[in-house]
Amino acid sequence: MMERIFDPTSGPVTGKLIMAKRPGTLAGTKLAVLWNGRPHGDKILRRVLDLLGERHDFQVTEFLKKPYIGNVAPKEYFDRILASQANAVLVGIGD
Amino acid sequence: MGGARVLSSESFEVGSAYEAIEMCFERGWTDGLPVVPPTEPAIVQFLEAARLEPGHVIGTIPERDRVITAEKLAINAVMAGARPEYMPVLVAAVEALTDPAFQFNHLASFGSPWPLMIVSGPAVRELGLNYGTWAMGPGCRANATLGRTLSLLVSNCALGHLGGIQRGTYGHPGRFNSMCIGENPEDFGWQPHNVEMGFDRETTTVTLLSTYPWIQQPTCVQMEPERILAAIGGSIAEGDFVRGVYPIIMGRPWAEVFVRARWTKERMAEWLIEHTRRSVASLKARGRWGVLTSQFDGFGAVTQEVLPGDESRYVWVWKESDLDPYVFDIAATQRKKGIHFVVAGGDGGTRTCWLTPYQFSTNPVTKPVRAA
Repeated sequence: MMERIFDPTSGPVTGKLIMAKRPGTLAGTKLAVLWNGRPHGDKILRRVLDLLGERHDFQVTEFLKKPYIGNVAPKEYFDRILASQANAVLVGIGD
Repeated sequence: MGGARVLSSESFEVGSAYEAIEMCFERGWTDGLPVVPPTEPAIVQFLEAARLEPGHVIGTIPERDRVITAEKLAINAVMAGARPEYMPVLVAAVEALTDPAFQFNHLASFGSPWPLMIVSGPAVRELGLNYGTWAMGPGCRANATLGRTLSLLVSNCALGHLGGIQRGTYGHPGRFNSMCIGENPEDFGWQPHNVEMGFDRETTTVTLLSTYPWIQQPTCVQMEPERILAAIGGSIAEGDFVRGVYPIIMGRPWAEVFVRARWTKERMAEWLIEHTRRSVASLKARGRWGVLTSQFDGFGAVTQEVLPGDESRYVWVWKESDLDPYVFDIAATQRKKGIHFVVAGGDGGTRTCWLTPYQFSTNPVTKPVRAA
């Protein structure tokens, strides 16, 4: 007996997500920083910025902390990052 | 409503039920156990039971860029072995799952949390949920397949599967089933959970509360309110000592002790809030001092050395103190704290039960079940 069964999965609503193009160098870059809010993530990110700063000349335009770890960052954050004309975002977690 | 319901999901031809089950395995659509083949007549029957069109959006999960439609819920419910009449409860469960307060993303955490599903109200009897002996064990279709539907749905529609967006170190055995309990609906003077959540007795509610696997707690042989609560609170305090909203589950004999003594749930909670504490010395002995908190500034900065006076300095699970920053992470000190008392389980034995809440980023969510 032939039957048809139906796919129980669902895909993304907005279509396929692709990674943003990586800047070739950080020299002269405007960099925004997004901390996901977990404890000590700020320490990790600031240390990364220090280490990168020893090798590259860039400008940090925003240093934002997500209000809640488990949620998507608020739209306001994206607006602020875009308004700051950042061309790269450094994101990080913590613990 | 009315008319033929047209499904939009991709479909595949199979020659037999066995072939269908094997295809589900091959495509990674199962939890490792066989599923019921999701055929069109079955899916439509589930949608009709809920009086929902296939494309009806029950909830969204922006963290995964997904929507949960009635059609996808129905397909996964069929696969889980549920019955069509379970759909209204499942719809409420998905509404809770996708409520922003639930913070869906935490389900991918290292800690492998999974929500306990608490059903309270008339649907417990109507659907035949087991609320008595073996309440969290296998063998009851309603309990098992309500819970399993949620698990399959999260796997199939929200990347909550092995290889998806899932980083749980050990996984949660409750995802197979039986993390769904019905509250004992017998009227013996106990305030039922649905009423506690602000609904009337005739409204069935579904609550999702993210937890680790349960702990059974031998209770005191003296069946008195304070003795029972001291045993539960002591067990909670001596455990991992995390902060959050705890479900405490007890069989009717224990609940009747409180009813007879005219203890309200508020009084029960107040007693536990006041008395559930742990000494700094004990926390240090367990290595729980300062490591996961804002006080941590590198290994060695905060030591576990017990200092004079630590035996008489305390931190409370549900009550704030100035020592909180040394035990609880920032999110835990800010998030909701509480206790849900639920009556379920058998009449025998000496044990009550509680579940450690996932401590970082989730809140319990309760939704009413709407008639189809």
